[in-house]
Amino acid sequence: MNESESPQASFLDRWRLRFGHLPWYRRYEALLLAVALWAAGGAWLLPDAGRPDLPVALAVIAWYVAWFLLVATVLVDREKPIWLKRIGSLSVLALFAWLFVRYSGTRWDRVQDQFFAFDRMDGVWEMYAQGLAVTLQLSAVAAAISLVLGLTLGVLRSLHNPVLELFIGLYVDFFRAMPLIVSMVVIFYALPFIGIRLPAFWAATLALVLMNSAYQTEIFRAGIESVTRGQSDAAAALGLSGVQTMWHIVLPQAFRTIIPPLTNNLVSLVKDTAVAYVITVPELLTNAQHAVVWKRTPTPLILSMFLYLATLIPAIHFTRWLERRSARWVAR
Amino acid sequence: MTGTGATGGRDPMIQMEAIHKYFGPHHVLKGLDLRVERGTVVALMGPSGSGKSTFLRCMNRIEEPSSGIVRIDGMRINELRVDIDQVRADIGMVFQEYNLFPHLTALANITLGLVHVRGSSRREAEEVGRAALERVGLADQAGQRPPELSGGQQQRVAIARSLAMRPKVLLFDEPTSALDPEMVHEVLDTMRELAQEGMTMVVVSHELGFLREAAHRVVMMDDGRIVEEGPPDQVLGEPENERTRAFLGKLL
Amino acid sequence: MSVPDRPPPPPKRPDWLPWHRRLLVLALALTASVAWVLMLAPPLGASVGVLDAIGLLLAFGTYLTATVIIQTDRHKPLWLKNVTVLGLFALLALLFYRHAGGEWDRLGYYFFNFEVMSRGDAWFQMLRGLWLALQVFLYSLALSTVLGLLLAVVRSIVNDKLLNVVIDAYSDVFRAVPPIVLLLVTYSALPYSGIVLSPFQTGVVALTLIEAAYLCEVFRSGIEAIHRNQVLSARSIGLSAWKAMRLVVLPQAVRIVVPDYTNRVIGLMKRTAETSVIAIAEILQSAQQLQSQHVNATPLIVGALLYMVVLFPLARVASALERSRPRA
Repeated sequence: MNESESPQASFLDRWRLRFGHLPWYRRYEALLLAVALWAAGGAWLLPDAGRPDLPVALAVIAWYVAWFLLVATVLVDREKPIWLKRIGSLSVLALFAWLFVRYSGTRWDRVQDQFFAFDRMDGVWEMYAQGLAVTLQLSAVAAAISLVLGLTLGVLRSLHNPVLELFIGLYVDFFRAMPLIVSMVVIFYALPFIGIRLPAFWAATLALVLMNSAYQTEIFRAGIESVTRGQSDAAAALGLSGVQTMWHIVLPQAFRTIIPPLTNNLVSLVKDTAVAYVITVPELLTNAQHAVVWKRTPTPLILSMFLYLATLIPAIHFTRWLERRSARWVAR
Repeated sequence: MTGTGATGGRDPMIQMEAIHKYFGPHHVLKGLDLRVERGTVVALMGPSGSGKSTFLRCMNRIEEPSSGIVRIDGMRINELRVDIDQVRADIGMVFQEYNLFPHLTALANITLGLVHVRGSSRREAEEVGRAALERVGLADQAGQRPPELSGGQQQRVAIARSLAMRPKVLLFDEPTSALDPEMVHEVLDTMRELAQEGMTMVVVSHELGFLREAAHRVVMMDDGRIVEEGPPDQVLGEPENERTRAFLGKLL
Repeated sequence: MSVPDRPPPPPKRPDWLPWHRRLLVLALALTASVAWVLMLAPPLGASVGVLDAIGLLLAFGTYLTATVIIQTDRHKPLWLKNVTVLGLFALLALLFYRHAGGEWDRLGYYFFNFEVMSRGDAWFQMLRGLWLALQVFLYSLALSTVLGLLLAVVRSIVNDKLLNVVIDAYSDVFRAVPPIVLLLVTYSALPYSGIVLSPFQTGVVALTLIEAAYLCEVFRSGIEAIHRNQVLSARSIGLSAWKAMRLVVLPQAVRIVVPDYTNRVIGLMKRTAETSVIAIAEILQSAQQLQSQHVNATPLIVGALLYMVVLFPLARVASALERSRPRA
């Protein structure tokens, strides 16, 4: 009955009888040993600091990919204890940090006095203030116009008229496919050839409006279509006209599903205003670049990045909060 | 002829003549005729897919009939010169899924049509709305939003919403099918009271007890046609048609 | 117990159509507004005064209102809806033609002058730009897909608090930074620190970092949309964690992820245009060089068309995918 006791039992069967049936990747000691071996092997494989040759680099990469896969098998296994997972994940983080320090060739002594040269920043703060004002103006104007346009087109598209569907569909897909920077450059640099001259600010606004209203059209349409047919049936049965139904019944309900993606879109609109740099609109990034040339240090550029981050990270968190809230609302 | 002098059930409130309906290639309604006298309750029955809901929705043109004539209170309503919104204001409709407006309170659900279709003042509409809520026994729920109400309460608010418009006729589209069993009776009680007060009603329903008690006429539909109609005792008790018998057999 | 006892408000007569229901009135409004535009509008090229502008806006508004009333009415015939909409677009085109201030006779020479494109190696430059853009795109797409998938798996399946903080911080930073800022920072700031990368490498690195942050979110939402029970039931029939992932979770997640992923792919390809600011001679950069060299906008138009050729089909696919997305 018990085959492993018979003389024909293989080595593997006798092994299993003795040590249990756990495969090796289920054994902590085997895993830890593998990770340690891999680390040691990796360290031994690594060339000195500087640029490695291609074959060496490939070998190192293959080695660490294998390591990573090993760690990944631990990480996705729900049976493994948390300390083992944490060792695995920390080892990967440490690896990346170490590789960066060793091979990026960064001269750490220069980072401080070049990237954070705050002593050379007189006069730059005013430029930031002006730039930020222009950025905010651009965002506000573009957002207001594109919201009106997006709402109109979204409502029209939700009516499923074939002609409207064709035209608005083409508009939406065209401006979703067209890079913002290209449409800005075309509007600002190409249109003057045929006599249409827009100031830089309005050229940037126009490009932003065209692109964002295309995205918003889809957002509004999806929101409107998320309101069920039964709602408009009920409104019609009460005798409300089409316009009344849209205004009193459909739009108020659609707005609850619309608001999270819409804020998302508006956040990325603010982010996209930085592109206006290429057509010399004096917004935040443009001014920072001027300061870079003026002060001969990249500090203003770095700082402008932190300014964007300080504005936009809270905005992103706000969007996420809205999304969660609306998910709860829909679930109720 | 136009039915202004109501004298107890002889003049028609709804006349459907030779109604056909196509959904693309599907022939859903195949030439239906129906007369609903003033002050009577007519029930539509039939297996799912028989077209009874579509037929009901043709009566206020929520669904546009492909051909045929719909008359409400003697006036033909499916032609271009008719203001369909004003017609619909006179025809109440109660849906299977309630279709209350979830972003409005129960009271606001009711006053919406009064203010924007009937043109009453907001104060007047609220009075009428509260009275209508009281009528269905939900006076204390006026400020609640639909998601906070039970299914039975929602359906009663939906009935109050139709009632407040002072309709000439009420259409019910399977009003109890989406309800939990213990809530069915509260809706049926409300409907029974309406029937006793002489409201003209067309009801799509399979609640046999209610139909026996309240309906004046039962119409059995199958495959887009009327296969049998008559008083409930006859159609539900001793049906002549084979398909009616089969359907009732499955229902019990 | 009784139905509200007050007299009902005076009923409107249902056989008396309100004005906005009358075809004649609507048709009159439509034609009047068109005639208004045609008559009031100053001739081609003349400047538009304030009064003219107000008149035009009113006329256009009238037309738009009539269109919306017709469109939202379930009972208006289809041909009427189509005709009014076509009229709307024709009106828009006319207004643009007359009042955008364009000198349209110059259009052919400056925008569609293919003689300019045949000078020198203009076509070759543009196509090389396209090839370079595609290379940036493909490299960063491959890298960011791997990185994003990795981050998503770690974030949602490992769900270790320490790692989550690191990944969330990464994702926040790179979703918040404008790509063009990151490109400029990596390109013009990093050399100060001694990290020297070619413009091409800089572009790929910057775009990868940003795209991976977004893709992490995309993949994560896909993985987390699969109900935990699915994993449990897969595990309960004895599948290992990897197999449960591969056979049960991933196939379902893919269907949720694909529409978002397509959108990100389009976004990434569009964003390669922004690498023109760090001296990568991709489509936009080549087009701008040619434009100033020949004093003619045709290369820019050709560049825009190249993007359309690549991206418009993708955008159509993305729209179609979005519509067929299973509703939650």
